[in-house]
Amino acid sequence: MVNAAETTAIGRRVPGTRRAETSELRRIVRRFLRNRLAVLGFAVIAGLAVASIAAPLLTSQNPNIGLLGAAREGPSSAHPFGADELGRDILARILYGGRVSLGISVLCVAVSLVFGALVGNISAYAGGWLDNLVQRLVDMMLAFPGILLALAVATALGRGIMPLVIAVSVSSIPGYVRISRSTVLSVKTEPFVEAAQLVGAHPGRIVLRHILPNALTPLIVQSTLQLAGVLLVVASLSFLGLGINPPTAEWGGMVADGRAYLATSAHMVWFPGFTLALAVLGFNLIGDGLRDALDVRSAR
Amino acid sequence: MTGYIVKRLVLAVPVLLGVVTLVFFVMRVVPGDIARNLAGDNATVAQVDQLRHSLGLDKPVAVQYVTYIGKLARGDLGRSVYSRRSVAQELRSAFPRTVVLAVVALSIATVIGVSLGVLAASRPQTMFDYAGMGFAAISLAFPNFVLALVLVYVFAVKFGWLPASGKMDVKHLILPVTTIALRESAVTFRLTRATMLDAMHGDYVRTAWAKGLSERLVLMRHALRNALLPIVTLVGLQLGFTLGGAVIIESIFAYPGVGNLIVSSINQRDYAIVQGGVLVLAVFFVLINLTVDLSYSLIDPRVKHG
Repeated sequence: MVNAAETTAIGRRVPGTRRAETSELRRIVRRFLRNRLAVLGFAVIAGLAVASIAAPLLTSQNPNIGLLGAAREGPSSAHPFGADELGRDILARILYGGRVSLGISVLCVAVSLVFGALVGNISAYAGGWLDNLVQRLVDMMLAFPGILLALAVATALGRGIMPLVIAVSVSSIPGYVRISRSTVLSVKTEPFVEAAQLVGAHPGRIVLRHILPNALTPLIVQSTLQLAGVLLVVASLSFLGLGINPPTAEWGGMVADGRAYLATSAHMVWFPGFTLALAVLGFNLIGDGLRDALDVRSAR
Repeated sequence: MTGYIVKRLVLAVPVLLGVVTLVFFVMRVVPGDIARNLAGDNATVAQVDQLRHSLGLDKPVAVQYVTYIGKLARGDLGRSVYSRRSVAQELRSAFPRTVVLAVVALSIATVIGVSLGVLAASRPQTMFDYAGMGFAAISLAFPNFVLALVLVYVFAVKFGWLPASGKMDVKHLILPVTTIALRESAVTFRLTRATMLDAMHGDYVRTAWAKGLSERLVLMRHALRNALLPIVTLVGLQLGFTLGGAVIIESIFAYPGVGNLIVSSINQRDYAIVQGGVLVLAVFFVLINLTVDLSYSLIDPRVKHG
């Protein structure tokens, strides 16, 4: 049994209670696994991820080279998902494109998590004018739709993987700053932080060793919930032509390529479009399951 | 109350100034020489320089910034370098179109989302509830551009019932409105269902049942009234984001709204329009948030604004 005095329901770790912490984690995992939809979502994402990593084993087609003779051919035994306007195999492009679409989304979330958490932690711990300044900056960035900021940044930086990651991260960092700041503010008043301050620990050490580990759980949950949204923003930017350079395949870009042929070769839109939807559904199911597993109120 | 509104508006000024500054400098980093593009391929270097000078783009960025803010303080948003129309004029024609699109779509989404959400919460774990949740999960999974293309394919390409794109009339609004409403109603449905389920466990709802009130009264007057705050907050957020975030919908349906205007201006490096457009969006954002906060005290008398 978890001792309520040692851990709180959101899995906040108190130094020196390793056993309570593992059983807390185990309890969350167990509740997650009991949720059939969440497990389904996990299976979908794991399946897509494994398929795109193992792409060379699953298809012998080259995703970037096609025969013009096969251009815009519908699904057949040679091309199970059909071919695109340059005769490239769509299945192969979806498999290889998954590396880019899923990979970039995970990278974006990781970048915004690290930056957002760092800024949020420092802002909340320092307080005073620095905190005020950071919060006004966040207000400013949240005062207009993130997609417009991402668009402007992507236009400024040009096409490519790094510009895309920067553009998407810049627009999602403010949200992370908000969440980590509010968590830190509540952790900051805990006795163990006060104790560390009393023994004269360096502020950097207090933030990294005492506050950050305890504020991590809500941030990780937030990251999972964000994956679906980030995947959508990445795909949207690609759809608007601000994604990565051709001929590299990416799901949103593939939908954009197929759009011109919607009337005659709609399969060029359906297969990448439905793959995107499947991935978003998977991430959403995982996110919902995780939130339920961590929710104090639905505890049995 | 008035004091609260004034305080909020005053606090919004530095935020808006920040938004303008951010957009101003991001746009200056965008590569591409606007004078070069405008002058055309046959222009001489001297002609391009002259054009650059007449646009004031040869001055240091800091000077351009101060000039811009100075004009802005007098209510002058500047002029489009391409159409030569003032930014205010450009926005005056594009903005109402986007407002119509967003308001119509969100009204439909809110009515559908809230009523289905209330119904689902009153019959939890039934077929109806599961069907609603399944439908919501699926419409949330589709990126809006894929959803838009599905609708275009079915209604414009296959059956030819509706135009796929074009200018303003009711027929042209149907597909973009449906695309936005499908997704946003799913969001509203999920939130309404969740907050209603919470409210249904409240003591006041048990009391209402015990008094022998009809299901309609219990649901609408006792449960929904208490579940309304988060729903109103959500609708406010949705409105703000749809106004500016309809970029993709507007570009797919070639709808001449503010999103489309901003995107094409980013591509053409038409700085003044991008700055003005984003500023107006941010002003709306601030006003919507304020309205939402003020509506709290109407919905819930316990909320007081000091």
